[in-house]
Amino acid sequence: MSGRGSHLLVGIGSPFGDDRLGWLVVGQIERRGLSSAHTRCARAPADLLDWLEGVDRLVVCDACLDGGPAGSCRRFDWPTTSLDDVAFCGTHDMSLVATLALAEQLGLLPKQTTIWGLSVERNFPVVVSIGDNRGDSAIERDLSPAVRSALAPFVAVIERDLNHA
Amino acid sequence: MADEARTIRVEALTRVEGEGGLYVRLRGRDVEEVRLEIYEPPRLFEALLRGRSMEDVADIVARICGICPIAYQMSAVHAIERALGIAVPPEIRTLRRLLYCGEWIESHALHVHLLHAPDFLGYDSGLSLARDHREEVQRGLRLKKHGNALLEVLGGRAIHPINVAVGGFYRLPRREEIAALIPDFEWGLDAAVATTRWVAGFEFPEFSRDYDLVSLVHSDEYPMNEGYIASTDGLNLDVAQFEQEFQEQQVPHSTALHAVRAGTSRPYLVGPLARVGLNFDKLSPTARRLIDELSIDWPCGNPYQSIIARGLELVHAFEEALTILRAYRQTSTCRVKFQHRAGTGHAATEAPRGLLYHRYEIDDAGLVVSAKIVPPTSQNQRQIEDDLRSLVPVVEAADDQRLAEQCERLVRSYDPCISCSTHFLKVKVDRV
Repeated sequence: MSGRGSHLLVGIGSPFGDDRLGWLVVGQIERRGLSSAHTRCARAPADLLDWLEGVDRLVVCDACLDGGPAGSCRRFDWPTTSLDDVAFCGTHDMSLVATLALAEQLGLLPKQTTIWGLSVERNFPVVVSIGDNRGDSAIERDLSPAVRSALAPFVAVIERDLNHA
Repeated sequence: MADEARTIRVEALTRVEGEGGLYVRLRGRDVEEVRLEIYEPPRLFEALLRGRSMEDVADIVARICGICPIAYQMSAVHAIERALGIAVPPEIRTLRRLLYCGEWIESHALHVHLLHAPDFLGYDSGLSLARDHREEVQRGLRLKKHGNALLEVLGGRAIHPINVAVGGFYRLPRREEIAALIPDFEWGLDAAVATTRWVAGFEFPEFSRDYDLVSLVHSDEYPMNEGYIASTDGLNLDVAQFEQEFQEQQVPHSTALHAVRAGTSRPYLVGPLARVGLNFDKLSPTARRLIDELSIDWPCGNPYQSIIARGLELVHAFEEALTILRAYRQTSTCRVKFQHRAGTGHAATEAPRGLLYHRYEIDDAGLVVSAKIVPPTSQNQRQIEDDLRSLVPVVEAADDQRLAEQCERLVRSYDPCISCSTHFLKVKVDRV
């Protein structure tokens, strides 16, 4: 974990195509020093459960399939039933919604929890590139055009949320 | 007045590994029909594999299941290695057992704590259980996490690992990567013991079956990757003869094939209850001490007590993993070299849910000519239906909702791969 403070930003993702979005957001906010929040990259939502102690604000960002146009941004404040219609891009293990609900039951969930989702294309071909030490611009080329265009504004809106909430 | 017919229908929600439902029709105490309905779309993996390089098989079959990909990888590479006449060195064999320990841990920890335990404590989900049993649920989550961590170190990642190769592994972990796991596994062994004691204290329905238990048996170890196929009725079978002894049958209400014993057409049971029942003397020392402490007679015919069998296997997996982790020294050979040749190979390994059989025919260019995969959940389907036929008359006095819950509970005790959450089934009752 990097950063200071009791705010935690978690990007959920994988190395594949648009699903990498959450990691890219965290990487940009971290490297550009855009927030003093702690930052984490998770491969599975359940990873969150280990990181919540002492956190009083949680912000999660992830790629999602919500039927909206690719590149559109959505914000959800927990608890909300609006998440029931959204599929975040993990297909195995506990879902993000189930993880947050479980964290709530376990008394681990911060009072303020926000989920940022960026709609992705279901059928955009996934590019598998080798090497995590490529620059951001090379990695971003693996994204679909709509998500690539939406990345910078998505980072900006999350940065504003972290710093001005 | 003649008894009216009752129809109990349980409809399923979609989940990653597929969909399942239940249909029970009874008249009075007489069960007229029981169907475990699996709508899982045809996976077509066996056809998909034809023409592919045998070196691709382990990564393709891992996609069959997000919960037990290692089992599919293990059965696949062992079968292919038999076809090619490859013998892996002891160090590789040991690491494969270690990898399997990781899978048993993550799978069993999830099922025991979040999927199965709520049934015994009166909760309708793992979420509601978590509110009142935080310590136990958090222990389960932590146990699962350590299983996943082992898969990441040895398999490359926790979901659909990518490090298993024909002849060994693509990469061996460094000593320090393995050593870093030891403290968590020391905690895990104690925690698994606590979990087993916890679940053994549950109140179990008085319901017992005279199962034909089937599992691998090995002369000097608890079965994972090797052994012969044994059963409570005295079977002692080379894995290559699986298809002569066990027959798959298509039924209209399931896209998964049922399996029965060829000679008798009787169902049989695979999974932790069968493994422990046939191999309890090969469990690790701590698990064997627990068996003595818990005073349960093995083999056990109570399907609900499979939760105890999973607890014992959690203990075993942590203890065996610890032994391997502590002794680990990185060797120079991660993968045996081999030559392509035509051949057919068979293998069965013990997935968390039971015996998983694979057969591959390979041509002299190393391409798959044919493949056959028989998963444990499909083998158990007929036994589940048989159990339900016995259970329903016992609980038929209950109202429809309660009756449906009792049926679901029995199905859940099998940890079928169609259940991703504790109460995944929507219940609908139609009175005829």
